[in-house]
Amino acid sequence: MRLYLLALLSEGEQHGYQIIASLGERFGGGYRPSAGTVYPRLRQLEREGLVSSRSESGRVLYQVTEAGAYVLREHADEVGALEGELGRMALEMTTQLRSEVHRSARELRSELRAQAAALRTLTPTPPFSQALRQELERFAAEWGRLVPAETSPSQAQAALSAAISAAIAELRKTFRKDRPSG
Amino acid sequence: MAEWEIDSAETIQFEESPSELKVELVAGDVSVTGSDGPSTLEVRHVSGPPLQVKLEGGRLELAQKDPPLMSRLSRLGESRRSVSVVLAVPPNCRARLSTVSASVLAAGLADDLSVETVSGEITLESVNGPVSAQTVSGNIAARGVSGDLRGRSVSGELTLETFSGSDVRLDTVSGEVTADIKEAGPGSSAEVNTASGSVFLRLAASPSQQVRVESVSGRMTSAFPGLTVQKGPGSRSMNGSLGDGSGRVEVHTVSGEVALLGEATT
Repeated sequence: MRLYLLALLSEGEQHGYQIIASLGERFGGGYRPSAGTVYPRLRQLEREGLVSSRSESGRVLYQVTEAGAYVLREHADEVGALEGELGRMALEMTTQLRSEVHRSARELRSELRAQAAALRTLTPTPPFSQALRQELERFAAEWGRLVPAETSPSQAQAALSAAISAAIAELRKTFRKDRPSG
Repeated sequence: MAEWEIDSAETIQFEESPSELKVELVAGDVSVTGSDGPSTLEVRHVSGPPLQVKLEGGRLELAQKDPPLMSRLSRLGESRRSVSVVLAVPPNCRARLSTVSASVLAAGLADDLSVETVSGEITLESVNGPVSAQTVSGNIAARGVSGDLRGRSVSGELTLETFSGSDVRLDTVSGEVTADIKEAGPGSSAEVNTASGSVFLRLAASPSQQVRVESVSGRMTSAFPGLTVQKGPGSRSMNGSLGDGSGRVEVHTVSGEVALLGEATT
């Protein structure tokens, strides 16, 4: 990633977000590496004197220094292998990405739950609903346990599709039948 | 055709970029990123039988096979099957990822994607093609999905952030469903079915949707005036047309509560 950042900057001064965007383009435009991955590396390069930065209208512009250009020339043959670097960068980013997505998912869940709670009028949950919910949760746990530990992925796949479709269809049928008419 | 049997940490750069990917694993974790660079496989860890990798005619397959018969019979010394792999493939590679308990991450893919697991966790980020994600008990978290999405689980939680695709369908038995669909395209359709799972949907501040919510006994809440709640002896419903009614939101639960929400108010 270091050499790649130097190579990107050797084409001219860039803002941090431009660097991130260029990296994002390498990933089909759909995924952007996080600032948390790129900025620390830029700062490290700065500490090593290979990159310098300056502020312009409140934004930071990075550029490669003489020393940085020298390092780039020295490793000219490696620059060809930079494509391989990209593969490695994708790998580093995935762990971070996974926790990022789940963290923001948790935030969304608590935000919407809080909103719903604020909107909700205080109606006590009827005992019927509570018993029903418990039954359904037990049912769901049963289905989960039905898949044996030694199952192969393809067997699990087939069992899974069948389980979900059957569970939902069955429950909706059952409760529609039991519904008091009126 | 190229074939590998990998039993320890190793990185492979493929000569040929795959247009189709199939992964079948039991435990561990698998990450697939769409990338314009060369296609690579990094195996971080293998325990149990070696990971089989095959690339032929643009089709890349990874599988960790069942251990040989003799070691299955003798439980002593059978190491748990588990691999940790990270793949970079072209964004338009179609992928089918199946695991028993391995967690799955897919990011930056733009074509057909199918992810199935029993108890693994599924994480999706910036996927543009049609996606199908299924679990029995694993949670599913998806962010930046801009294609159609089908998510199903028995008891796993489904959470969808910044969905900007056209059609989304989420089904669970008891898993909670949370979805932010405020950026879904015009004329989009969102359908959610659960038995006891709670459903929280965030719509746009000024939504344009036909709304139909039905439940046997689930509580219903809405941030939008213009929806009529009707409570009958055996069921209740919340219906109405918001905005120009060009989109569609349909939620069915048995006892799961349903909340239709707008933007957060500070």
